[in-house]
Amino acid sequence: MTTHMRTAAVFLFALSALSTIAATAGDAHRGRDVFEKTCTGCHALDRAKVGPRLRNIYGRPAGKDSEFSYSDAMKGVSVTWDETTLDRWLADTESIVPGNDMSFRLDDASKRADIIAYLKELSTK
Amino acid sequence: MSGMIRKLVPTFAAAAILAAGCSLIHPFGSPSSGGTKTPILSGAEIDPETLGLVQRACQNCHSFNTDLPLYGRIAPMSWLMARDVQQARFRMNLSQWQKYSTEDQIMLLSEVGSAVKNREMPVQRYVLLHSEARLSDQERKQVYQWTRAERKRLKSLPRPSGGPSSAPGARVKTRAVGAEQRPDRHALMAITGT
Repeated sequence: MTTHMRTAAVFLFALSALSTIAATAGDAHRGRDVFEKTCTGCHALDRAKVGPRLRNIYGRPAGKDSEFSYSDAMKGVSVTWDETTLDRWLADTESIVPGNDMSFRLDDASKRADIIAYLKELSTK
Repeated sequence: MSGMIRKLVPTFAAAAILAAGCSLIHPFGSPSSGGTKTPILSGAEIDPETLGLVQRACQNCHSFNTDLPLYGRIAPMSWLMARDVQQARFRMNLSQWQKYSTEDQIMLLSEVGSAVKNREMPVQRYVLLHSEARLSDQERKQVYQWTRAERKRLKSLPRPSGGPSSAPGARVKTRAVGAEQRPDRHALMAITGT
């Protein structure tokens, strides 16, 4: 009986963990669509526009694209773009770099995860 | 020689009549029909010198204060200019500044600051034909610093409890709440702003 209960507990824990991963893991294909609709007004992948270029942004230190003129706040920051920092940035840029020039917020966590998955995919190709 | 000129005269006359006729057609709307000329950035705190820079470099496309040159009244140039002006007004209309929500004003200011600082605006092809819109490095810095100061002022204001509102003709969506932005400012539908 105890063995059965332990097995059931492990199964439920695994199921819960998997569902959490599924809920937060982004989809790069969806992320491309969200990126096109949400980001390309100000950003391009391969050239600076209103914002810096975003290809290979994942894994890169923030504020270090030599082709773009950043705010003083952004120049002085010590952040590397990964899933955690990009998620915080897209949720509220001020929370991670106060005084930056990007006034944008994406409240939908799944869309943030999708965009991040897309940017990550672009950086690993 | 004179025979050749005599042959070309009807062709030129026909082209002139066609251009004049086409100039009466406005497939993208007439820039001058967008609204009456009004002061721009109503409600914003901006010093006269910086306001002068914005008027010089931005308002011809980004407001109802559009002054078309003579060539801008003749088709097909008039059509191209009308399309550009409508797209620019859709992106940001300085004549309707007070109708944007505070949140949209903050976002627009951040876009303006970064676009001017990074030489995205005014667009090069516009400056080629309108040299008065050219901004020096110092002037770009001045506009950028104003956008930052105005953003800071707006952020310090108490937020209304009723939430943001956008007037017809102004920015339709508030982009802060999971809304989606247009894909590209040069690929927008023509919207007259009326």
